[in-house]
Amino acid sequence: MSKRINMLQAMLKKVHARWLILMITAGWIGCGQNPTALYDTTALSAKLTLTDSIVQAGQKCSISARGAGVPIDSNWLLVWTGTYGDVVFRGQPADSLIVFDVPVLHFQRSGLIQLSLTRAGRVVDKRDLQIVPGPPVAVLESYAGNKTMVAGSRQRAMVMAIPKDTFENVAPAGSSVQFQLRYPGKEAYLEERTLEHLVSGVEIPAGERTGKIIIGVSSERARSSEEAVELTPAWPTQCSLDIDQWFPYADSRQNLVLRTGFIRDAANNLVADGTTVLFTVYEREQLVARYNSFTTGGVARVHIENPDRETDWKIQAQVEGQISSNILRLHFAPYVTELPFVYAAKERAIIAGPLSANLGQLVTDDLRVEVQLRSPHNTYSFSGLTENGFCKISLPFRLTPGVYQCQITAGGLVVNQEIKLP
Amino acid sequence: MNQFALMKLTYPQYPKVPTGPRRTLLALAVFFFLVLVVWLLGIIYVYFHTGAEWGIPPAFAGNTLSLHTPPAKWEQLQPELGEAPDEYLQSEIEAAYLEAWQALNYAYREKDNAIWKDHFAESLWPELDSLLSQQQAFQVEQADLSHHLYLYAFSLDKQLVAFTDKGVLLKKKIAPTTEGEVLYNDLQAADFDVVMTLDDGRWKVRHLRRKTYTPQADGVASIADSVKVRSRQGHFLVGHKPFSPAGINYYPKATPWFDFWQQFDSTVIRQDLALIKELQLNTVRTFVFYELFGGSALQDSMLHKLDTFMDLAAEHDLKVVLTLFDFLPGYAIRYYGSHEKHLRQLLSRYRHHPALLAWDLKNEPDLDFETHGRNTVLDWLAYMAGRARAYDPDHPLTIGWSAAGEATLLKDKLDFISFHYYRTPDSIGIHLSNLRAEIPEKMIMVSEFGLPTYQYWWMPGGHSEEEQARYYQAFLDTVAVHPGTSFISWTLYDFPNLPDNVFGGPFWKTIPQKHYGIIRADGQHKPAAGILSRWDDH
Repeated sequence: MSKRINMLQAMLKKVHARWLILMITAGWIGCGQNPTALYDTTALSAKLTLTDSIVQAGQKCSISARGAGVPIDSNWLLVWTGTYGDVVFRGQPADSLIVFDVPVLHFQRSGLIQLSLTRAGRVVDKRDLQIVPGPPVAVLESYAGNKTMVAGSRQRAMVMAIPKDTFENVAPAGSSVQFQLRYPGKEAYLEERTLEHLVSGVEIPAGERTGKIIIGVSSERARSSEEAVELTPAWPTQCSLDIDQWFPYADSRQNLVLRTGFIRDAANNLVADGTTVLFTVYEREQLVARYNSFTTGGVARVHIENPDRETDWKIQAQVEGQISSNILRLHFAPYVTELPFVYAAKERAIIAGPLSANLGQLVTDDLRVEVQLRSPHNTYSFSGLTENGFCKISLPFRLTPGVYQCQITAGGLVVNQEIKLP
Repeated sequence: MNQFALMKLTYPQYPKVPTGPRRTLLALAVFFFLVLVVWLLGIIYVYFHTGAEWGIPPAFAGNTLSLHTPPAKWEQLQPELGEAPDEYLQSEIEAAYLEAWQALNYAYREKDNAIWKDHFAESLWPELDSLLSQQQAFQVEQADLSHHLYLYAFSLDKQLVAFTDKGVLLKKKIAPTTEGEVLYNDLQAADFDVVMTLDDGRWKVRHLRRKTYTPQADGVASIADSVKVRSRQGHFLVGHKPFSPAGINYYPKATPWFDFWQQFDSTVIRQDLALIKELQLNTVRTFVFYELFGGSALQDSMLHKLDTFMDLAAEHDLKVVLTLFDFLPGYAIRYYGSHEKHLRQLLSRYRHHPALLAWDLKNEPDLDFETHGRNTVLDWLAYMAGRARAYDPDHPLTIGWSAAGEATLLKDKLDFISFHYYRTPDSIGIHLSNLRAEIPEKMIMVSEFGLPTYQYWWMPGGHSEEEQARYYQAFLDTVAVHPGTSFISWTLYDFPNLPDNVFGGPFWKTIPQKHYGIIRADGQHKPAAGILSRWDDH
């Protein structure tokens, strides 16, 4: 024994022996440690357990992990993958289970949840959890468009509806959605549809009559706000033109008032207020005026000042460039029946008057009187306005003395006379 | 009398010179001051001499949402409700939807909730904010990788769309915000029901619901049998004919690396390929640079050059191994979408080409393990290999590892194994035997090997051309006794100039790179060229 001890002591005195013993000891200690979580293959047998694989939104289920020989510690993680992203929960040991306490908040969002059990960065097990939305309640999302259609046309609008549950999840696929529609002047009727791919919808054809289509959508206890689609008149198909007021003398003072008849579309709907109507006036086949007007209650009116000379007018109305009315042919007789005038040498003026109108009365004030003086070499034009039936037109001193042919025009009447200027 | 006393006598106005410990302290202070000055000067020098690195820094790449969107496709455009949208609206909706995913990915990565306000309806903001707040302790990196859209409803007023997005793949990695191991790394798959509405002129996600995954076919059309290449029991079959690759890595003499494509000269290439053919070789290996070719949106101008190269190779009856993703800026998950688009465009375009022999997915990715993380790089390679297989199932796929020791990585995802070898030829046989023992059924290709020839008295370690020839002889002798082994040597030419943005570093590292060719810069063949041209005699 002592010989062996002496041999051992002699060996330990050698430096390399000490290092060898140190390394062996370290290796033994290292091998004797529990394996790290990364290399623990028994962890791979852990399985996730759910009390329910399908739950309704807002209802929790218990999630745990277990497995023969798996370490029960808090190095287990649960990756909760929902619709929008991932949340990580750390497991807590509880007896022979690893329990994951997931707050009920996470069970409120419907959809397919992928649960991944991980340890040291490695996915050990996966399970799916289906969170089903609850029945539709409260306010139902609805979208109606187009907001306007032309009555009697082939246009269509659409109403899309998205019923939701208490937690704002879209209701389960297959949920029934009721669309109630009421056309102008008709009874309401029901269209039933099924919710698929998060939406349901119904197409709405254009009705014949103008007005609003009122729509209400419901699904179980969910209700939408009222939706409406406006039916506007279609293109006009008929238009007539009548006289409201007419003074058939060319006094350039009274107004000719014209009016269309009720302008309607093919379905007999009055056109929309604001529909443009163009009145065109022709004088001896020449276009002399255009007037724009707009309908109110299906009728458009226009006021046109009388001409200032005897003439014939042809007037027609056109609706938005589409349809034309009948043509009105109007004759305007001269307003002035008598037009005497003299040359007052003292005042160097032509005095016209008294001007008489068609009823023997004096013409109204401010009637325009035009004078034209023609000499062999020149022609001069002057004008004035009547006052109390007379009109005085002063002649300038630059006019050379001589004989002139004088033509006076007023109210459609033309008178010619020779005058001599001193 | 010492010198200080003399100084004091001569210049009495000068202060007393310190002695003893104070002098030591003064000397130390001066020393450290000089060190500080030199250090500052060094910083200034380095600042003005450091150029931009090739590639877009990842921080910038994430700012443009549409840059990294993955491939997506409308599989069904006839809705059950409403009317089909026109082409413009289809692309608008698709772009807005993909950007919404990018916004989600970005928000989780940067923990910034401002970005999703332009992509998600206001009703969803509280939920998204809540989710983001629960992720504060974790760094979540995710990328959406695949979208197949099936239209269900499109409202008549063009304001609402409902569709199902099937076969969505989501690559996710979750790690603690503080230092720590990755907690979760997986590829998730799901379908989504989606409702989007037009809000303020932007399409925004209003409802989203996750549901059970439906696998989607990639819809790759078949190609003619004559251009298919298969790898069988250590051999290639082109059409139905056996093919043994014997090739060379190719850059023109005057324009290697980036200059090859930027100063593309078809006349020079035609001459060089004819030369390669005269050397009795049948394969060339060349490189497609990710950024230079346009990243996720390949540039037509670059593709036309690659078309020309492939056509010239076919003209000379040479096969081409195309090496992809060279000089890739990063492997982060957020780039997967744009990388896959790049991959899909290239593979779809060239899988029909008769000159194509094989795809080399990445050049020397093991060299990026240290910078980007081993698992990150391997994850990327595994995913891209799977996608490459889907986009072109008719050409063999490999990865060009820089070392034989890494060549067994991801072997099950590859059709043949390739590695690079620049050591002495004595041990190549051992590496080939070891690999063959582990991978008995697949071809092994040494896709880069060679020896530089330079002899400068001031730079020891060089080799003569005769040594290079002996090296090639020994190498070919070894390959000949290892069935199912092929080679592509590095490289055809010596390069008079090397690009600075490829080879930085000290001259003793860059000079050898100029001299690996089997043909000198003056066009004269080195003895190794003759050895290589007789590869078939072995």
